[in-house]
Amino acid sequence: MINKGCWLGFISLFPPYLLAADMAYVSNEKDDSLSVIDMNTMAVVNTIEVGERPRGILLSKDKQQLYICASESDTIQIFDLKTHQVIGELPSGEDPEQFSLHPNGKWLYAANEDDALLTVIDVPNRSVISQIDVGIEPEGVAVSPDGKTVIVTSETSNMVHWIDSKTNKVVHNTVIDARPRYAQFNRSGELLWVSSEIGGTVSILDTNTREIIHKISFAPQGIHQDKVQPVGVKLTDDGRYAFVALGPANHIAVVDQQTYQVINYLLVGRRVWQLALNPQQNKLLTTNGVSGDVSIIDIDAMKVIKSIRVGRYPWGAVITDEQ
Amino acid sequence: MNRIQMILNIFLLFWWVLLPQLVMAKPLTLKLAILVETPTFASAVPDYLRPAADQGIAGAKQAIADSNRTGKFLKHHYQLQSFSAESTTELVAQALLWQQQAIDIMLVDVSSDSLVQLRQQLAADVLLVNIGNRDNQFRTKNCLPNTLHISASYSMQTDALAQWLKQRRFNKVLLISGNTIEDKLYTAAVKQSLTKFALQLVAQKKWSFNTDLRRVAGKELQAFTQVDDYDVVWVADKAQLFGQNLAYNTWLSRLVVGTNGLRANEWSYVIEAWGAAQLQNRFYQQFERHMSAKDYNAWLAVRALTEAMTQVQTNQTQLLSQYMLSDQFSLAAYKGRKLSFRAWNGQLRQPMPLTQAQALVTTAPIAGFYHPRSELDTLGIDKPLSRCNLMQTFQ
Repeated sequence: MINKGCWLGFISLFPPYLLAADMAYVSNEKDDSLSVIDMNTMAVVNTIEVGERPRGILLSKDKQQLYICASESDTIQIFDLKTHQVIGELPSGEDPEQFSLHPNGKWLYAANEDDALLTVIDVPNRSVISQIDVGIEPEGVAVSPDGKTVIVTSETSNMVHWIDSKTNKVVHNTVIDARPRYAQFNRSGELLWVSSEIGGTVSILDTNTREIIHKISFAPQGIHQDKVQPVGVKLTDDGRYAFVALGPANHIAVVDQQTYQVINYLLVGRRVWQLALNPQQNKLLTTNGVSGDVSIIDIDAMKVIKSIRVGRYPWGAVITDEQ
Repeated sequence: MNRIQMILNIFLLFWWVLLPQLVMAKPLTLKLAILVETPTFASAVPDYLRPAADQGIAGAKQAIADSNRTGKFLKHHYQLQSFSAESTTELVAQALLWQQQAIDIMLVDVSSDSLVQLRQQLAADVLLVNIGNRDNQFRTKNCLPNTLHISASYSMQTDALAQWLKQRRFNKVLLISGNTIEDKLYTAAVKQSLTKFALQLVAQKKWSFNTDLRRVAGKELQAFTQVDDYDVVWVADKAQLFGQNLAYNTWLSRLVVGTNGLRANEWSYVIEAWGAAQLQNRFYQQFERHMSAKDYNAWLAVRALTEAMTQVQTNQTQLLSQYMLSDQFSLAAYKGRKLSFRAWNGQLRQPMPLTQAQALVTTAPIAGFYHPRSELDTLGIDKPLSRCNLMQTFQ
């Protein structure tokens, strides 16, 4: 017989994060919906209608809400994770694609692709603080961990713009390989990783000199160089790995964050573009635009363990353990 | 001794640290011009098939606006002048005027005769960038020095379609041609592509133009296409005098490809992937019409030059063209892969979308057609078959 006390003892063997259910939210660009995936069962548990052409999504600082770039609706929607309802909107400027949240949780920076602007949004007041002129087709947005610098990449101008978050002015521009798509600071904020889709490279910039200090090229076996088109980049907080989505090469490159050497290529779905880590950072989810699915990678085993069908053109993803 | 060393150090500091910053910050202006030979149309060509009057020039203007947006961050500025005329004489006169004004890069959308004339009359250091002419001779035997070709050759178009026919196993082709000079050149390219991809020419017919098809297309063309069994009709009608009436009017229930039906052009309003929707939107907002293939070529030509200026930080034509022909050059062009030049004949490599009126069908090179250098080189006449070796003319 197993009594209640025994059950409690058994359960207490597991730290709380193993019991909390990680949930992944994936935006489906051409279905105007979010797919909700239970990361334990690795199955879609819900599909929720949102605004038109949802692309970038991210978690609020308190992890209670999702912000969703509804590009064709020209707005950022606020989505409540408890009720699964859209509870409000933020003024985003036209056609928001990617965005990033300031560490203070209050300022949101959204790239307006069609207007060559970066819109700075005050989240609590739901108002626009400023709109900053940047290059053609701004895309990747990142805020430094200390909150002082905002980065936006422009796809057609082939530039990384450095913006001072105090003055909201562009203070420097670094010319980079063709079609920069995504920017990500490392944990200390000393380095900035930027992917160039058409250049086929990931550049690592020193944030003090704002110069490129290293460039990574990729050569997955049996794939023509022209198809190697890096998009999403995610760095693990332990400083160990960088994951790079290689677009129509249909692979994720696993890079050593310290030596910049590519240590593995993992086959995922077709035209993989964005990535999300779970809070534990032992799972990576990839959105595969053309095949309409996501792949789940077990980072300890460094293996793709599951493909899950979602909506048409899955774009952005967030994984959270808060419910 | 110490003093000399100090002076030397100050000099070195200036030379290595301060001078490059001064040079970097120096504003640069690049002056470009575009020359368009106005096409003439037979009255039988319906209005809705005639291109916009500013075709090509609009694309160049869009690229200038895009590039200036980038340039303002680097103190680079781009200017464009444009001129259209019907006669070669007028075109040459304007080009010579520009040359006097120190404009030494000219985009040209002109006939083969005018292109040859321009090259002969202009100074050797004027860079010509062809954005409309598809004549194969300029890629194979009439190798014009210091001339780049952005527009795809006839062979790049016909190879793209032939690859698709091969993949779909539509092997048997009925070829119908009009009687203009361009139709003859295009027809020759079609026949080369049929041989290259081992497709079968069932019959070749010439349309004789003795009727107005808008009234009796159904009857006339059904009788005209009654030959042995074929999988597709390949039409060569550059002038748009009859080709648009072939679809749905063939004797057998067959597809139409070529200058009508399924077409292989550099661009079409149906292209949306790889960020293309952004370019389409920008263009539509500015010009209130769709971007045509010629607009796209002009856009590409300007972007190639301005991208070179961003990377090399110079406005010297010779250095720009050298960079564009080098291995370092890669141009993002909303087609899912980087574009580069074939250094031997100055031809831009680019994927060819195959489109029908309402959708993108596929994009050539089609998977499975391989090439040791680049799959893009399965389209068009390859190096061994070209007499051109232009590399040295750009140096």
